[in-house]
Amino acid sequence: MGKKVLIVDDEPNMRLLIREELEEMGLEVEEASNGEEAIEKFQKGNFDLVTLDIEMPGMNGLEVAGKLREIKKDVKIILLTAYSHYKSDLASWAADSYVVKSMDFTELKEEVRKLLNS
Amino acid sequence: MGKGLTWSIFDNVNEFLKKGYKGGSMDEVAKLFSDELGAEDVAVFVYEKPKDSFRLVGTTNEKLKDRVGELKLKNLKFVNELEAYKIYDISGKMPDSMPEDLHFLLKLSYKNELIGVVFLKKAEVHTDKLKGAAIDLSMALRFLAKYIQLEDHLKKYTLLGRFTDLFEKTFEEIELMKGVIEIALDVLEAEAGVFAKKTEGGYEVKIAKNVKIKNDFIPFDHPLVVEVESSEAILYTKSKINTLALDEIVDLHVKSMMASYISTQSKAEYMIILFNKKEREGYRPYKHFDDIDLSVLREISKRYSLACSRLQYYKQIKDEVNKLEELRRKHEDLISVLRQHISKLNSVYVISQAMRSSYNITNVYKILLLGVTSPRGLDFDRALLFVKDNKRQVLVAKMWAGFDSIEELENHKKKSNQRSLRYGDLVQYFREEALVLDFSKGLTKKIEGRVIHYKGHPILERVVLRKKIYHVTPNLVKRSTKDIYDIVEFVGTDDFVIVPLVGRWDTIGVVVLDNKLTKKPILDMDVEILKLVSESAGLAIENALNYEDLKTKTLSLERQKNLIDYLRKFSESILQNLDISVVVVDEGGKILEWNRKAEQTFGRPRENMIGTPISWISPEFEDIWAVAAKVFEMREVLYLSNYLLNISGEEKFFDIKFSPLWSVDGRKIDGIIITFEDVTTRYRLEQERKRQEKLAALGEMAARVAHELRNPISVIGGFLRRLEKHLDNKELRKKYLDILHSEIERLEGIVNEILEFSRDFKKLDFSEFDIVELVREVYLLHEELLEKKGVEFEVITDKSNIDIFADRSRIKQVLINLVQNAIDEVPQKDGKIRIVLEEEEEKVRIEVWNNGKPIPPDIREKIFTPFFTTKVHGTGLGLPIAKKIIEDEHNGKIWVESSEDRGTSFIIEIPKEKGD
Repeated sequence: MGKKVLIVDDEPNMRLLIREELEEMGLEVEEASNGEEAIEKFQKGNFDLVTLDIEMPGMNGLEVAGKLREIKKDVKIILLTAYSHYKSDLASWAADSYVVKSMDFTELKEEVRKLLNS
Repeated sequence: MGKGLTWSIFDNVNEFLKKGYKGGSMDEVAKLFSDELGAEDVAVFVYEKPKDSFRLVGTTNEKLKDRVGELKLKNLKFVNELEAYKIYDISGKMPDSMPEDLHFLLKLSYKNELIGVVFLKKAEVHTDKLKGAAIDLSMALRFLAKYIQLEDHLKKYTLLGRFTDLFEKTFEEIELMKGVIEIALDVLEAEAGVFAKKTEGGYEVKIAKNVKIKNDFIPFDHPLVVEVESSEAILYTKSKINTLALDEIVDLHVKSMMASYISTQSKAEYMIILFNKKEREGYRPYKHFDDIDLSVLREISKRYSLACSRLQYYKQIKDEVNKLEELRRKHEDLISVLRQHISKLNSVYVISQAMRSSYNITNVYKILLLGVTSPRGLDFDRALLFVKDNKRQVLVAKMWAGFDSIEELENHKKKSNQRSLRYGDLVQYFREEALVLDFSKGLTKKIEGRVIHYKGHPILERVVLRKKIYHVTPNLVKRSTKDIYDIVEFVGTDDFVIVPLVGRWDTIGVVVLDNKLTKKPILDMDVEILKLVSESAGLAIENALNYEDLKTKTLSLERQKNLIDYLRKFSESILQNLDISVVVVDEGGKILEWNRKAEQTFGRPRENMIGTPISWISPEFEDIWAVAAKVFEMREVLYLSNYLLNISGEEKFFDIKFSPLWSVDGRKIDGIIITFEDVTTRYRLEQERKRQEKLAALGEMAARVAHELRNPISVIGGFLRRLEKHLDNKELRKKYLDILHSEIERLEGIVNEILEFSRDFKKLDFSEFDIVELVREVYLLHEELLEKKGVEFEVITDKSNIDIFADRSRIKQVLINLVQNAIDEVPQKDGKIRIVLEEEEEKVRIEVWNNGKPIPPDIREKIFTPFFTTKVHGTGLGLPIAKKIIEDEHNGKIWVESSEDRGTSFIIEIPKEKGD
C-alpha cells in the first residue's frame, strides 16, 4: 500500500514541485497551504510523513510540527526551509529531518525514502 | 434549372481549387455558363486586384484553351464604368491577345465588388437567365477568392503554432535559426532561403537551405545589405532583381525574392532572405512573392527576435540563479561566523556575571572553569587554573577542568547540555552547575599543588607580568628552545592559550585552555574574546578574594569584647574596604564621608575632602549634587546608570546610587549616601555586544534577501530539472514552462522591489500637481477590482483640488500600494475603504482607511520593516518602500492607526512645498 505524505508550504508552485517529485516515488500526496489547514487535513487522513515549510504566514512550521506530534506521535516530519542556520538547534527536537530548499530535490527524496523505510 | 447550374458551378469551382488550371474544371464552368445562356463561346476571367489585371481561368474557345491560367489582361480600366450583369459590345477596345469574335463583355460583380469578366460571342442570349447565371458565377468566383484569402490566414495561424512549439524546444541560437528558416520556407512556399548574422564588416551566412552559397560573407556595401538595412524588408520581382547582385551570393536563378532585417534586444542583428515562390498544383493568383508573403516574413522576423530575447533571458536567469546561490552561501558563512562571535561575547558577559554573583572563591574559580569549557560557554576541551603566589613568585596549579578521553568528554557534554536546557537563564545555570561540579577528581588530582616558576620564564613572565595572552602553537613549540618545555609537558599538548587573570593592580593567576581532545583549532577570534575574559574574570576573582579577606578580618574582630567598638569598626571596615566609592553629603552639600575606594577612584585624599562642598570638585559633581539635592525633596532612592565621568582625562562609566541617610528616629534625612560603582568594563562589554548585534542584523537583512530569492529559485531549479526530464511530453513541457515564466516574473518582481528599495532618491522628479486628481486616478485603476469584490469605496475631501509639489509617480506608487493593501484586508462582505484628504497650512494629510481586521500591536511595529509580510504573495517591501518615499524622499510622515472598533488607517502627511 502506498504511504501517505502531507506537503505543507505556502507557495503553490513549491507544493506542486514536491508533489510531482514524491508522486514519482509512488507516494500518495496531499497538500496544505498553511498550518491550520495542515492540522485539519492531518487529523482526517492517516499520514506517514509530513514535509513542513518553516517560514509561513500565521503558524510557522515549528509550531505546526509540535501540534502534529500531539496528534500522531510517530509521524515522520521533515522540515524544509530556505535558511540553513536552523539546522543545529532544531533538527534534534522538532523534526526527524531537516532539508534546506535548493535547486536539487535529491536530498529531500533521499530523506523521505530513508524515513519511510525505517 | 438555376439551382442545377449553381450546383454545377460550385462543384467545378471546388474541383478547380484542388487541381488548378490544368484540371480544366473551369472550362467546364465556362461550358455550363455558355450552354445556359446560349452564348456559343465564352472566356471567363478573374479580376486580381493587387495587380489590377484579369486572368483567364476557363473557356470554351479552342484558341484560348491552352492559355488558361496564363493569359492576363491589363488595361481594361473601362470595365469599372460598366454596369454589372449587362452585355456590352467592346469591339473597338478589344485586347490584342483576345480572339476578335469574342467581343461582347459581361461584367461580374458581387456586392459592388469587381469579380471578373466574361467574354462572349453572342449578344443575343437568354436574357431571362442572364442575371441569375451571372450572379451564380460571380458568387462562385468570389467564394474562390475568399477561400484563398482564408487559406492565407490559416497559414498564418499554423505558422504561429509551429513557432511556439519551436521556441519551447529550442535553446540554441543556431537551432533556432534552422527551425525558423524551415518553417518560413514551408509556410511561404519558397524554394530556398538564407539566414545571415551581422558581424564585423558585413553579414555572415549561417544557414542556407536548398541553395548553394557562392560567398558566405556579404559585406555592408553589397546592394542587398544596403537595400535591406535601409527599408527593413524588401520584396523584389523579376524586373529589378538584377540590381541586387544576388548572383554574387547564391548559385540560383532568382525570379523573385524577399528579405527582412531582424534586430534583437541583445543587439544581435540578422537578415533572412527567401528566394522564388514554389510552383503548386492548385489555383494561386500569382507566381511570385507578394505583399502578404512579405508581411508574413515580417511576422516571422518579429517572432524570431522575441525568441532571441527569450533565449538570452533564459541564459541570464540561469547565470543569475548560479550567482545568487554563490552569494547566499557567502552570506550564510559570514552570518554564521558573526553568530559564533556574538554568542561567545555573550558567554563572556554571562560568565563574568555568574562569577560576580558568588563570593565564595572556590565557586568563583569553578564558575570560570565551567564557563570556558561548557558548550554553552566558550566550549574549550580543558581549562587549567593556576593562582599566583606572590611570595614564592610561582604559579600554583589549583584546578583542571576536562577529561582524559574524548568519550568521557562527549558523555559529559551531553549530560551537562541536557541540564543546561532546563535553565532559561545561563547565569543561573553556571552558578548552580558550579556548585554541583566536583573538580577535585580527575585531571585536578594529577596537578593540584604543583608549581611553575614564572620569573624568567620566556612565556609565563610575559603572561603574568605584562598581562599578555599567549597562544602556544605547534610551530612555536618546534622552533623554540627547551625552556618552554616545562609548560608544554605540564599541559600535555602543543596547542593552547595562556590567559592571565588580571585584577585592578596585578595578575591574580592564569588559565590555560586547549582543545586537545576534539582538536578544534584555536582561532584568532577566540584569542580576541579571551582578552575580555582576562579582565572580567580577574576582577571577579579579586572581588571574591576581597570579600574573603573582609570575612577573615570580621572573624577576628568578632572576638573583640567591646561590641560597640566591634560594630563601629566593622561598619567602618566595610565602608573602607568596599569595592565601591562611597560619599556622604549633608543637606548643604558638604562631604561627610569619603571612603578609601573614593580616594582611589577620584584621586583625592579623604582628609582634603571631608567638609568640602561636593559641587566644588568639578562641574560634573555639580550635576551629581543637583541629583542628590532632589533626594532631600523626594525622600526616595535615585539611580543614575552608566553615568560618564571624566577622571583625570579618562572616560569612566559609573552606576551611581543616591540613598537617603535617615536619622535615628527615621523621620529626618541627615544626608545622602552616594555610591559610585565603576562599571566601565561592563559598559564597554555591553557596547561591544550591541555593536556586534547590529552587524548581525545587517547580515540578517542580507539573509532575508537571500531567503526571499531562494524560494522562487528553488522552484525554478526544480522545474528546470523536471523540464529536462520530461522534454518529450508536450503537455508537461507547456505546464512547466508556464510555471517557469511565472516564477521568473516573480523573481524579477522581487529583484525590482529590492532595487526599488535601495534606489537612490536623487533621481526624483518633482512637479506641481493636484493630489485630489491623483487619488481619483488611483481609484480608477482599482475600480474594476473594487466592484468585483463588492467593496464600498469613498473619497472624502472638502476641496476640489489640492496642489502639492512632489514626485507624482512616487506618490502614486504609495497610494496604489496602500489601496491594494486595503483591498486585501477588507472582509469578504461589506468591505469598506475610505480615503480622506485634508489640506493643512503647510502639508496635506491623506488617510487610507479600511474596515478589515485590526493589526495587532506587535505586528504594527514591524510592518515598515523590510521583508516582514503576513501575506502569502508579497515580498514584504511594499510598506518599507512607501515609508522610504514619504519620509526619506518627501520629508513627510507615514504611520498606522488600528483598533477593533475603528478599523485600520494608514496616514500620510506630505509637505505641500518641497522639504529639505
